[in-house]
Amino acid sequence: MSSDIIERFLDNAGKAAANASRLKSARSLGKTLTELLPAEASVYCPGKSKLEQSAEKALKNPVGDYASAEICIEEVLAGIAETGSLVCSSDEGRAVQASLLPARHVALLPAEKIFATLDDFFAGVAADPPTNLTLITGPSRTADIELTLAIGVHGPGQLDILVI
Amino acid sequence: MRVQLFGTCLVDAFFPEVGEATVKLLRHFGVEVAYPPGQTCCGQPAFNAGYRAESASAARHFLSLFSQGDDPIVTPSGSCAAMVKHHYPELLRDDPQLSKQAEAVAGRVYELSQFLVGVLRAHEQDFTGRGKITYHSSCHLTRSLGVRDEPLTLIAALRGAEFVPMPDATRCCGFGGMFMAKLPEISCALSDEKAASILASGADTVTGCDSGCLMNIADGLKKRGSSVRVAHLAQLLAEGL
Amino acid sequence: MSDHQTSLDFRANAARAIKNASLRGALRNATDTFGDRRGSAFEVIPDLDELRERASTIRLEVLDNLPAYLDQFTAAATRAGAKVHRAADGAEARGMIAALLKERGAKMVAKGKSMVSEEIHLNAHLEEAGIEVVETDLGEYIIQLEHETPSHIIVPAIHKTRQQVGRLFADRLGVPYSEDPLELTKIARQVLRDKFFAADAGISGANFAFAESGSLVLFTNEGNGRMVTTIPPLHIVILSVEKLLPSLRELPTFIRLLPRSATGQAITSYVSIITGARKAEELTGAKELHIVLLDNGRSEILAGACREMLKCIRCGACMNVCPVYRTVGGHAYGWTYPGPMGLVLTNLLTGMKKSHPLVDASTLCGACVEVCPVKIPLVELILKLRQRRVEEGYSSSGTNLGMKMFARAATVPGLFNWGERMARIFWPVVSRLGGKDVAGRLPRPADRPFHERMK
Repeated sequence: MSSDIIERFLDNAGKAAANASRLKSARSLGKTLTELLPAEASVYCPGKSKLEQSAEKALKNPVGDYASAEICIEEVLAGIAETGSLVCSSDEGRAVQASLLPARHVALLPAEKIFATLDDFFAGVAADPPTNLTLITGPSRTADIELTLAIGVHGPGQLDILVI
Repeated sequence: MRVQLFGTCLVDAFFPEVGEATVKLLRHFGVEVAYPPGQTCCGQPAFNAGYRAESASAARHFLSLFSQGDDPIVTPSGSCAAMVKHHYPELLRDDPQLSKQAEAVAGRVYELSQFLVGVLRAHEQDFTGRGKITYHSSCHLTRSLGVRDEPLTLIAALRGAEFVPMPDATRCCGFGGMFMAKLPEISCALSDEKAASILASGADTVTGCDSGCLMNIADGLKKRGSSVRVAHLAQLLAEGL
Repeated sequence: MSDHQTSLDFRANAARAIKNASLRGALRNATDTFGDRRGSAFEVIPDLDELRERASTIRLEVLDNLPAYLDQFTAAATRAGAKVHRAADGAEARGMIAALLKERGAKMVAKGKSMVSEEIHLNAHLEEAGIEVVETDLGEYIIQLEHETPSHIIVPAIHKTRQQVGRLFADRLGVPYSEDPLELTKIARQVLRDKFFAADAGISGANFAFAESGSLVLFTNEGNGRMVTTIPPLHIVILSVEKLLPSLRELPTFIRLLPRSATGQAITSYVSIITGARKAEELTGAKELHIVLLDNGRSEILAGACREMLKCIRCGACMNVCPVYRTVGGHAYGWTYPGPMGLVLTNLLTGMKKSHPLVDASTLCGACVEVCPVKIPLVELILKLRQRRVEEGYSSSGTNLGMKMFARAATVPGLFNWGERMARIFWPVVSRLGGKDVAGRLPRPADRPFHERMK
């Protein structure tokens, strides 16, 4: 995975007001999460992938219902460097709305799953896309009142991305 | 070199000094100016209002005056040049002979600043100027003809004058031909905004290449009690010879 | 409640709007901001003209083969588990949506933004049928509370000040008054959260549909689009038939163009691609997905001379640069779509008889043509409509006569010059007859016209 693509991803994600950073290895995930997350916060994690299972170990207050959780941590399907976007999919029985409802979303993104451009990504899914495919770029926002930017509307107000 | 001059109806009736300045300028650069008598109007007012037949009449008359030879046709109006260049061929497409004439004429038409800079290289000589000059970039001139730099190049040749850009120089002044008569409230609101831009620039003179715009801008400035001078670029250049 | 329609007396609407200082301030702020942001956003695109050309070509290819693409979409969406309905007009669409909701016993619907639903007055119809509709896009929510119609297709409440919104929320929601947009947004978030979960159905529009896979895409920032399309058990999508693209491979071109053209964003916070209803063993998506493809006049337009208008992707860039829109705002246009695209589309969809005054709402300055991401020749279309107005007899007899006289004078120099002379001699009378609004703004004709000086 070209580090140029990773750099571009981090840069563009940052421009969209996500807190995006890169972990040297999956081993530092637990420590990173401990530092990143408030201890008392209720956290939902699907626990399906290896990374997610590793993340679960670091959680002090895990909950099973994403609708009432304050934070959702999950591994995402892919990233797109061109826009700094995450891609979430409904495949493998995932609940895409798990990252929509809590106020904070922490995304775990394996570096090798970052595509350089939108075209690169869509070429692979165009013929047979999943039921729900959502590109997430930064936290939710609106500027409907006098064009004043308000971050955090119905979707999360805070988005952290850990590229591993 | 010889050109045929199309004065335009607005210049003819309201701003003959612009026509005179145009002639003086062209002659200064050694150009013989032919003025076919019997000129009326390029037909824009009818065309823009959707009256094709009536504007075609005006077009046919224009062709009857200007079709001879292949001298450049020069006009001190971006919107009239655009009308002839872009709309005459299509307007007369049903008549094979006239449409051929229209194509030929369309290929020979120049807006004045386009001609001065592109053909005569007039900007390579110094003119005298004074004060602070700002420039309104007319819609048809800018967007239809793509003439963006030539007027600024000529203003830069006015030594002694300082160019001060206005905010939103390319925003429509609100003239729009028949628009100013059909929706005068909006037209005045736009000319007022244009006046505000001109005043914000700090200029004592505003110039441009279309008399319709300048006329509307003058009204906007007058309503604000401003004494900023409104002058066609041809006038500033002729005065600076 | 009703979506009150302003009459199509555009000049009177405009004159009223011009006197509204707070509206003009809001419009100036919005259009300047979007114009600037659009410019900055496109700086990173190496060849914008090429991108627009590509988008235009894709849209034309779809329009040239629309029936085939619609059939392909219908088949693919059906295979993915959606039910696809074709509605010939607004009445049919409203009827089928109301019937479906009634069948499911739906009492309350959470709604995402959809211009085409405004076009057919869907909300009013559903309310009459006893179904509560809650708009969840913040701007739409605000104007719904206010019983108003949108004044811009991207930021529907652009004409409202923060004080007005604060007052509105305090009065209608019983919350303490605040004029802080962040606070007001928080209030809306809390109120609407419950609605998403309580809603029996979600109704949304879609920015595009994709023929190959039967997918739909929604570009949103707030997250309400994602809520409305995945939380309630039933999801109804309404979109007009021309909003098709061949496949998801064409989506990147429009991801690059649409958000930048609309608000200057590189991409919206969320781009949701929905393909069919929730499958067995899945945890995401509405259990039932119904897609209503609305014609409502598009087929007729497609067969006509103004068909390029159907390339429109509803970005709003044209109204952001339009000098007329900037001065009067969206309500003056009297219908769903304002600005340059609005004055063309309104005439094409509602007919010249009702809407022809709108064709004057343009100075033909061409600013819209420069920014349209799909290169719709808007000035050309406005001119075509003005010609049609004359041909179909909607121009005033006064103007018709005036133009005939003009044509005469333009071809007979003697007559032309005589006219100039008369205007000059009788200028005080002429200028008074012509009114201070028009003739009063012209200077006095020159003593010696240019042609006399060139003898």
